[in-house]
Formats: sequence, C-alpha cells, structure tokens
Amino acid sequence: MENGGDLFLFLGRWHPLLVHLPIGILFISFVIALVARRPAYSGLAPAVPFTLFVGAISAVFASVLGFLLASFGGYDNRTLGFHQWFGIAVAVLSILVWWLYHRLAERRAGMRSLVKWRFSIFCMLMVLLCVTGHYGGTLTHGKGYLTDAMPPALGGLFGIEQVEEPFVIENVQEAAVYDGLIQPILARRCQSCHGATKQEGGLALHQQASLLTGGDGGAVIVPSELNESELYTRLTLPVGDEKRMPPKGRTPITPEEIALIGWWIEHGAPFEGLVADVEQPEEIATILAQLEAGNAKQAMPEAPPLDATAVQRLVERGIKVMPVAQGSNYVMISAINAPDFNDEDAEVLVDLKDNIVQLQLGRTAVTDVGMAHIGELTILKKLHLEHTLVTDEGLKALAACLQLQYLNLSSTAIGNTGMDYLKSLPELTHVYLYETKVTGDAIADIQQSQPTLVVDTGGYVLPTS
Amino acid sequence: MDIDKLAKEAQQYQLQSVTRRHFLRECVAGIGGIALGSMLGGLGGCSSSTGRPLDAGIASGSLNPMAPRAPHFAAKAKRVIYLHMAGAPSQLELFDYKPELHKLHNKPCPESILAGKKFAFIRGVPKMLGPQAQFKQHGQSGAWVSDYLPHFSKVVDEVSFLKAMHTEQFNHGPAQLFMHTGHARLGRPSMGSWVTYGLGTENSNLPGFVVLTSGGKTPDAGKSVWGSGFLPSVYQGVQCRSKGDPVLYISDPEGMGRDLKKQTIDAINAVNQEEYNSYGDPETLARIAQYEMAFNMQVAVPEVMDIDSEPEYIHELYGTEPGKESFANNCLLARKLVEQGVRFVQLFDWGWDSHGTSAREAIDVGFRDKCKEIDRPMTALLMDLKQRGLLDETLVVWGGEFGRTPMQENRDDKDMPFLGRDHHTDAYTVWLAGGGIKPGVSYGETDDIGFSGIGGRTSVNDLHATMLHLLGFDHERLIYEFQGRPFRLTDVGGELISAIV
Repeated sequence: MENGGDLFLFLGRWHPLLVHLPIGILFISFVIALVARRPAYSGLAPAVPFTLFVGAISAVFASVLGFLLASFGGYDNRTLGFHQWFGIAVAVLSILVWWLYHRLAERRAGMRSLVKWRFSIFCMLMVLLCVTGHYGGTLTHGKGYLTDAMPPALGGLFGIEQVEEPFVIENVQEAAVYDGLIQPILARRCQSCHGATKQEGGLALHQQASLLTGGDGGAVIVPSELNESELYTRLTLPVGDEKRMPPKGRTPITPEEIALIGWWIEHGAPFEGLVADVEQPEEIATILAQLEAGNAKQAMPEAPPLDATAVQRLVERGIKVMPVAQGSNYVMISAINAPDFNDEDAEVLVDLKDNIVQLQLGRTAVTDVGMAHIGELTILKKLHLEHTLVTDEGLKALAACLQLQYLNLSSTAIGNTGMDYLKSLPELTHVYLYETKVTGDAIADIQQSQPTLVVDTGGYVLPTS
Repeated sequence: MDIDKLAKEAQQYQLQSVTRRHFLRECVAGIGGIALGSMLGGLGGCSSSTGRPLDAGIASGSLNPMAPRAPHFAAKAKRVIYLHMAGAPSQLELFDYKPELHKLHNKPCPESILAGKKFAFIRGVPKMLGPQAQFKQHGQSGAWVSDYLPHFSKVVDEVSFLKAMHTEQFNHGPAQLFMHTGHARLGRPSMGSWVTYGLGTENSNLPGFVVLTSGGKTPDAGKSVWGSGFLPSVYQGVQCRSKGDPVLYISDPEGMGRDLKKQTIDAINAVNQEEYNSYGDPETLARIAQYEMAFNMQVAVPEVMDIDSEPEYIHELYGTEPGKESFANNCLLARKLVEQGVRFVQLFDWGWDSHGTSAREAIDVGFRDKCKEIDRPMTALLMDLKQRGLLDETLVVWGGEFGRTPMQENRDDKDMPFLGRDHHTDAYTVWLAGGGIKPGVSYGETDDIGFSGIGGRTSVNDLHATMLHLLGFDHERLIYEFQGRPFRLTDVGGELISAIV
C-alpha cells in the first residue's frame, strides 16, 4: 500500500476533471431522449442508449477515481458521505436507465412495466446528478460558495438563513427609545411573520398604530403592566411551549432583547423620547452598554503569529504553550511539568511578548533575575508566581505590565515593600498573598490607592465544634 | 514455549490482519473491486471525524490524544471539581426553605398534587413532611441555608444556587447516568470525558479526569458515570483509591528499574505506533498515551495523592484523617489534584438516600450525620481554593441526581419507622462556585411546598451547557461523530443559564 499510495492518489486526483464527462454525456443523452419523444425527432432515438452507455461507463469510472481520492481524506466527512453515495447512485442508476433504453429490454416481457417508466427514471437520474454535483462543488469550494453570492431575496425563496449582523447601536443613550431601540428589535425578531407583508394572528408590529391595536386576541401591550402584555409573556414562556415566540425553528430572541422589551413596557411603553430619558436599572444599563460596544472581544486586535523557534524551545523544556481559544495567537504558558523552569527560560518568553496573556510559573525555579524578562510581557493579564523564590525586588519589574489583572504570590517571601510596586498597576483586581510576610497595614495602604483590588491573605480556619 | 510455535503464531496473526479489503487495495488490477468492496464495507461503519480541530495542540505537535487543546473561546474556568452526593440529598432540609410546608406537616397530601404523578415508593395518599431543619438567611446575598450546614452557611456569598433543577429519571441508576452523561441509558461519555476530549490535560504526568469515591460504595449507576462511552477510552475517568495505594500496582516490581521500564514502554509504543500507521485506529493512540501516562504517573501519583505531607492546620481545616477513605480526604485530594492541573475531578459520596426505612436513612438522624460529614470539608475546599487563588479558575459543582418529595415516604402505603422522603424529579437544588460563576445568586424558584419549579427551571442539559460554556465551549459545537451522526453532551437540548455566569 505504501508503494501504491502515490499512484492511487495520482489517479484519484483525476476525479475532479473526469467527473465532467458523465455530467456532460448524461445531460446530452437526456436532451436527446427528451426531444426524441416528439415524432419529428424520433430519428434521434437510437442515439439515446449509445450516449447513455458512454455516460454510464464514465460515471462508474469517475466514481472509482472519486473513491480513491476520498480514501486519502482531507474532506468534510458529512458532505463527503452525501457526495459519495449520491455519486454511486448516479453510476448505478445510469446503468439501469441505459438497460431500459436498450432494445433487448424492450423485448423482455418482464421489463415492459419498467420500460414504460424509463423516462421518469431518467428524470430522477438528472436530479441525482445535480445534487451530486452540488455536493462535489461544496467539497472543493466550501460550504455556502453558491448561496453566499445569491441575492438575499432569492435566498429567502430557498429558505437560506442569512448570517446575523451583530446588533450594534452607536451612542445608545442618545437613540430614540422606540424608533432607535425597540422597533429595530421587533423588526429583527418578529416582523417576518408579524409585519407589513404577513400578519400571523392578525398582528403587525411594524407600525405604532398596529402595534397598539394588537392581534386577533386584542391588545398585546398594556403599558406598565408587564404580566398583562401578551407581547412580553409570549416571549418568556418556557422553552418548548408551543405558544412561545419566536416559534421553534425561527431565530431565537436573546435574553437581553427580551429584557429590553420588558423594560420598555414596564416604563409605560413610550413611543417618544430618548433611551436616556427612561429610568435604567443596573442590568438594563449593562445591556445597553454592551449594545454600544458591540462585541467587545472583536475589538481586541489579533496577536501576531507565534515565534516558532521560541515555542519549540519551550516545548522541548516540557513547557506547555496553549492558545486561549481555537485560532487565536494569544497563549497561556504553563510550566506545570517543568519545575526546573529558570531565568534563562524566562528570557525565551520575551520572544512571545505580544502573545502571552497568562503565565503559570508556580512552583518553578524562577527568581528575580527572570522577573526582569517577565516584566517585558506587557499584555500579560494573569501571572502565577506561587511557591517561587521571587522577592519584593522582583516585583519592581512588573511596572510595565499595565494590563495585569491577577497576581498569585502565595507562599513566597514577598513582604510589604513588594506591595508598593503593585500600586502602579491600574487593572490589577486580584492579588493572592497567602503565606507571605505582607501585613495588614500594607494591604490597607494599597487598597486605599486601588479600592477595587481584592487582596486575599488566606489562612482561613473553621471553628472546631 | 518453543520458538517455532511462536513464529507460526506470528505468521498466522500477520495473515489474519490482511483482510479482503487490504488484499483488494494492494491489487491494482482490482480497482473497481476495491471501490465497491470498501463502499459496501463502509455502510453503517463509524466515521472517524472528531469535529475537533487538530491544530489546537500546538504545544504537543504529536498525535497524543491528551495533549492540551484550546477551547472554542477564551474560558473562565480551566478545571472542574464535581461533588456528587449519590442517593440524592433533600433540598428541603438544606437550601429550599418552605415555611408553608411546615404548616402542612402531617396533613394528608392534597389529591391535586398527586394527580398524574408517579413516585418510586410512595403509594396511596402520603402525609406532608415539614422541613426538619431550622433555616436562616446568610451572608450579604441572603441565601437560605439550614442549620444542617453551619460551616457552609458562612461561604454562601461565594456560591450560586440553582433552586429549580429538574430531571427526567426517578431511579438512582438512570438519574445518575443522566446527570453525568446527559442520557439516562448506558453508552454515552461522561462530562469529565467530554471535557478532557475537548481540552486534553495540562499536566502530562497525571490523568485529565480523576474519580474519587467515598461513603463505602460506588454510585448505583456503576463506573459508567465516569466512562468514556463512544469517545476513545483514553478520556475515561481514572478512579484513584483514597486508601492504600492510590492506583493498584503503581510501584515497580522487584528487579524492574525505571530505566528498564522506560525502554520497555518505548519499545511497545514504537510497535503500537507502527500499528497505528497502518490501521489508524484511535484506540491505538489511546493505548500509547496510556502507557506513557502510566509511566509518568508512577512518580506523580504517589506524590499528589499523599495527604500526609500536608500541614496540620490544613488537616484541621478539612477535618481529614490520613489513611481513611472519607469525603474529607477526597476534598483535600481534589484541591491537590486541581493544583497540579487535573482538568476534571469527580467526587462521589454515597449514602444520601434518605427514605426513612432505618435510622441511617432518616431525614433527622442519618441524613443529618451525612450533612455533618460533608459540611466542613466542602466548606474547607472552597476556602482553600480561594486562598490559593484557584477558585477563580476552578468550577465547583455540588448536587445529587434528583431531589426529595415534600411528602413523607409511605412505602407500600404503610407508615414508616423513621422520617424519610421519596425520590423526586420535579425540583432539586444544585450549587456552583468559582470558575466564572457569578457569586451570591439564587436562581429559580419552587412553589410554596417545594414540589415543582415555578420560575427559572433548569434542566440537566442546561447545567451541562453552562459548565461547558465556562470551560470555553459552545455545547452545540463540542461534538463527536459516531454511528453516522454527531453526538454531544447536551444531545438536542441545553441552554446556557445566563443568570449565574
């Protein structure tokens, strides 16, 4: 197999070229069969079995080559499965159709009933051919190659879902509460069934007047009465309830959007005025702020590619380099299997300074010398230094780590002086000081300059009963 | 054994491994035959697609199935400690305070509640059973916790409660399977397996998924609750004993040195690698990884499983007694394991099935003692994780497989010698802490007698979806292709419980 492997792959790679033979030949055969049904062109009829025969042979040949190509992998398995089986079906069916058009079949008594249906079966073969071709195209060009280019109106006809645009409102507080916030939500989630073109249950939500009139069952909004407003109660029914809106199979409405609609109704369902004019509880203010920011994660620029040499050197030392998410160049580094991680290794980290956001160096041999290098990791957010020899001096180097949020110093020789060096870190939210020499005064001191900082000195006990 | 016989056996084996498919494949003349044969052979076979990108393990660069991998999006939790109270503790004596139920104590249960309901043991018309514990609100969050858990009540501000959990199964075995594998019948992978399948292990010297049991018995559903189902078996939970050698035969036999062992394993793995190259069976990779892991574990496991070396005040905090099999010891071990980068630590504590058939199963006697047994260690676990800066990225989950009825059990329609409650699927409480859980939230509400959830009902699938979310996974995308269709932990359900994250 190892010797034959290249030959098979080579043969297999002819598949994308040769598949066009059965497509073309079977198609022309179909056209001939179609026109030959009219008496004026009946002279063409003998060409049908001949072209079918050539088409069927080429289909079988293409299937075999396709199978060889598939066995080398590299394709999406589901699509490949469909393509493979439809392709085989085309080959088998084309042989059958050829036989039915063959004059030997016409003479056989047992085949008569099938021969009567041969044109219908030929039509089925053409449908199968199209489907197979489509899946084949999907394999080579990727999903959505065809539909992405389709005009949206046409796409709707085929029930193809458009990819949702993120819902972002610039300067949300200055937006009109109804026209700028609530109406767009209703437009996104409800109006394909309850709008200008379609009014399921007699309900149309695209205009103020029709929104207030409600549907066949009466008004759907009772200002300030959330539980009386069917528009809201229908959105909040348990999942699976058949009266829940939007119904199963439709794009669901997000919990945030439901909260905003609820908030709007609760505050009298105003049609005039700005978002800022309506009283906002904390959770609503948060949702609104998120709308403004859009997806905050997208705002973070992608990191440059990882320096392969540096990664290699770390991996060889037993140090783990793990992306924070699939496809991301931001990484977490863990020396959990490298207790001998030392200051020289720390120097290697600098080559990845635009990538490292989390660093786990707990229980390693890193010292203040290595800290100088760690201080160069300016996008670091999380740093574990527990059970190391790092001292107050070492923390001086962290001055440039302005994004540091989490710092674990438990079981180190850190003392009060070290705390002073942390005062300049604006993003720092959690510092762990269990089993260190830091005293209450220094903690009170740093918390004065950073009131949101959580300092945990541990040493918890439970009363013995 | 004579050498000829061995050689013959080897030859036989070699011949057996050349199947029809291989023969046809090697035979260029039979190209058409190959295609047809393999196509038909592939019918109903399993697809090896994993639905998991291979590029994630940049740190390993190998085919090691346990290499660390990146989640779908940046995670809040890196690890999970799951505390399962096998037998199902009563939510009505611990967290779900129902003063109304107190007023109905000893009165017959209204027919309206019983209509159309099925119970495991209750027959006829049972009496209502008022809460047997005293409740108070605790902490800034004002969470209701009973006097059965005096220590735990001090850390409620770290915790979020799901008060209206519900399940589909009212017997222990299926309910435990459902809780841990997302399906009430055998054959699905457990949560821990899904997590290690998705994330691999951070520490190459320890398994990614460790199981510890206490209470004298393993759960009713057996080892399937930490099985790997149809996932490669390398992802199954590794049960460690908390008494004696943590893993049997962990030390080398006499005369077998570390070097010799290493050479042996390298040789075996080289052969297995050949095997993998020609057949591509993921189980072969699992075997290679397990040999490697076992070799590393010989050093790492005795170290991490040794609680003797912990200082005295830690033993006092947890209430541990080295050498015993106890929930307390397991809590301390869980902390040590997550500290070493183990992804999923699963604790099972047996003995929570309080039917009222004996003093040990009485709500006011045996159940109360069980609560006392876990109160200190589980509180200590949260505190200890917190002071070490680990709670931040370690998700702790506590719960049973279902709840208990607000009615007193009347097995076979007879009075019981002790106070007990029957299995109940409609409402129970689960709490979560750390790992990105919003602390101090109480989500979900049950009716006045605690029979059914009336708001914020959450299912087992929802809990799984939420746990996977915290670990950086979209539960609908963490899939495995098996028998022609993609499978996932939440099957066709599950919604993120956004109120607690």
